[in-house]
Amino acid sequence: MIQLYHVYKTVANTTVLEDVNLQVEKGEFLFLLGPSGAGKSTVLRLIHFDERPTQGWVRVEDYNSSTIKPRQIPLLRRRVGMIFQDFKLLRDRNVFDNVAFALQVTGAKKTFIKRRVLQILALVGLGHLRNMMPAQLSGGEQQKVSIARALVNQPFALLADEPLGDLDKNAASEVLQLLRGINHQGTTVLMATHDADLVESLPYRCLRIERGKIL
Amino acid sequence: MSYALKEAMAGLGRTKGMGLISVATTAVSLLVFGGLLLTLLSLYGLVTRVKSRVQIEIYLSDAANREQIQGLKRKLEVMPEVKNVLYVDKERAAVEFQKTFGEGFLDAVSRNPLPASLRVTLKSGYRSSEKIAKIVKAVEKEEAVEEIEYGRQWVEKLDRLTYILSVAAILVTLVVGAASIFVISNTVNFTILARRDSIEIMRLVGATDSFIQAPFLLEGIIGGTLGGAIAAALLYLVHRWIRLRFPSLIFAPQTELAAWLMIPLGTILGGLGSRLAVRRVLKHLP
Repeated sequence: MIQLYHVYKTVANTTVLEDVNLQVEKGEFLFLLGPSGAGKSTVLRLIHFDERPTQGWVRVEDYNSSTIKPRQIPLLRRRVGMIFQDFKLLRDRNVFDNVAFALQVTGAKKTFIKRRVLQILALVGLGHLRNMMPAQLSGGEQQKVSIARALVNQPFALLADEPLGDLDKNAASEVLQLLRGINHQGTTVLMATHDADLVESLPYRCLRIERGKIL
Repeated sequence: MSYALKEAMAGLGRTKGMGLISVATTAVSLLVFGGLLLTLLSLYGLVTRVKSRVQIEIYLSDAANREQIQGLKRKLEVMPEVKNVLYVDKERAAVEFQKTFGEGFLDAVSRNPLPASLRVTLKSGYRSSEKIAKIVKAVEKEEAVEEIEYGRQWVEKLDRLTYILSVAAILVTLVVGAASIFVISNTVNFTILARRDSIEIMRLVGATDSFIQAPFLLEGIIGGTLGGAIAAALLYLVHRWIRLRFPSLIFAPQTELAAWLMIPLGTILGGLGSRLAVRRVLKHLP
């Protein structure tokens, strides 16, 4: 479960979030809809513990922002995958190594890493591209690699920050289908987007956020 | 660990230019540092060598009898500063005089005018004007003593030189050492900043800070050791060349050992520099 409780976030005297309350249930697909600069990314970053609230608290599974120890944060991040508009792939490694990276970090065994990475690449439909470099892939394919990387540790939730922003229509629809499939298999998905049409076309709960406040 | 090592090697390969710059910086810093240190050590060795020739010559009065001389000799021998005391009788003094100034001089006089003496050699740690003065003071009032000579001005000059060299060595160590750490840490900083993205991604996927640091630290240690080895080899070669070419310039063979000291020093500097840098970068990333 993910919960934000009366969260305020101030950066250099500017209020980014104001009294945000939000709860995401296990297995839910939730949209966070708002224009750019509304505070969507900050909400996701708070859930990923990249930032801490100025006031209030954030709870993710058993971790609470007011009590978490610095050394626990990496462990939490293995439980919450995250993807971005710009994919954030390592340009100097191939597809397989990019995905394997998230497992190496956990100290997993080599044989396990190999099996698991091939499994997850097959799941996102990129098994045949495993030896390609990111620069050789289309935007949609790159986003799928980043999804594979986010999922390889079997997180309970996936945070997606404008994941379709840089993709053409076909690629966007493919990635969206992939995210829906992942959610269908039980992973909680929280997706930030500015695309109201997209949100309306899908049967999921949506929270609107504007100027740091949930409407 | 094997992951960190693999990453470190890959890292050195990936940012070849940066790795090279960092190794070269370490090498140059340690070369300057080692060069200065070796020069100082050689000078120090030179001064010590000169000082080892410092002796106190206690000229004895012709009237002094055997017991008086023996008593004085024993008194000197039990002093903690004294290494040994040599009795030079009148005949020996004459022989030494003739050796130095040639025969003939003494033939002009009917009887040997040279006094007998006690020649005092000092232990290595006690060859300062202060210690000598103490010894002189202790024996100058003795009846058997005619005159005492020890090249006072020389000893005092050497004392001052030793002091200056010691201070210079400490200053060089501190200043150049600090500058080396600064330069190396900044170079490593650049190599880390060049890989900011991959650090960000490591954090994104839940890497612990120590996991992120390990390859950079190892890279720093490998680079530092390599730089140190280059500096050591160059210093050794130059030192050897000077020793063969101008053997009188280099007196202390241990200065050669100091050259090899640059290797562990490079290791430490590389490790320390990269640790400083990686912590700084990690602090500024989310």
